[in-house]
Amino acid sequence: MARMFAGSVARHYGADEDVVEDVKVAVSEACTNSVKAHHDSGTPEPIELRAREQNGDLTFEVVDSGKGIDTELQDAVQQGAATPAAGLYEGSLGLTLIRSLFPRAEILRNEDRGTTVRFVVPVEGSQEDVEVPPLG
Amino acid sequence: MFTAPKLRERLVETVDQGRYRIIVNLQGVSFMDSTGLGTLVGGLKRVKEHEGILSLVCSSRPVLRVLSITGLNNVFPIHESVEQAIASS
Repeated sequence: MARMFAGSVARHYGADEDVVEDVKVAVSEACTNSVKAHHDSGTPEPIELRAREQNGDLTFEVVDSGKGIDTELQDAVQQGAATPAAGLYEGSLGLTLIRSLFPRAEILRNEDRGTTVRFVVPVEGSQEDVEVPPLG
Repeated sequence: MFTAPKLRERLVETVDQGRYRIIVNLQGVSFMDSTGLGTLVGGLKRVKEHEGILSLVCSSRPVLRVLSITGLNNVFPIHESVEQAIASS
């Protein structure tokens, strides 16, 4: 459902169908990691999917309250070093995929708890904001 | 994402039955993320232990794109039809 919604938002802002498919993959990856993080840490809170368009940049954020990304993995992904050869394939392929699809992607440790995955999709959109309610 | 566990189960079963030359028909698959990719890579590792082969039948653009962006298009032989996959295996 998250990926359908994200795809619709991207389409709404004029993204072409190939980009819409990429958005679905990226959101799916981020949500899968978040759901796993919540499951592993027994976190009952919802995971949030946020979308916001500003000046032709459509920004998606998947925010969880799990245990937070491992610092070593975060650095490896940010530097593009999380590759099969580096032995970081398992669990990091999704994040690597997001960064491959959308180079303006960040994986952040939240100040309080959990992880935010943010990526930016260039679109020719309007100034209208779309707020997505938390997913149950 | 939802069908990956079934595929994993089927691949394990097939290899356990001693069949190491496998064609996975992805023609009905319109979406794949790292869960699906991981499953295919897992299947590939299993058949490789027996010097087998795992090839894919796929013509869906989104699926081909994910395979290509991860470099897995160089790891799996990819064909446009099951007939073509059989002919080249």
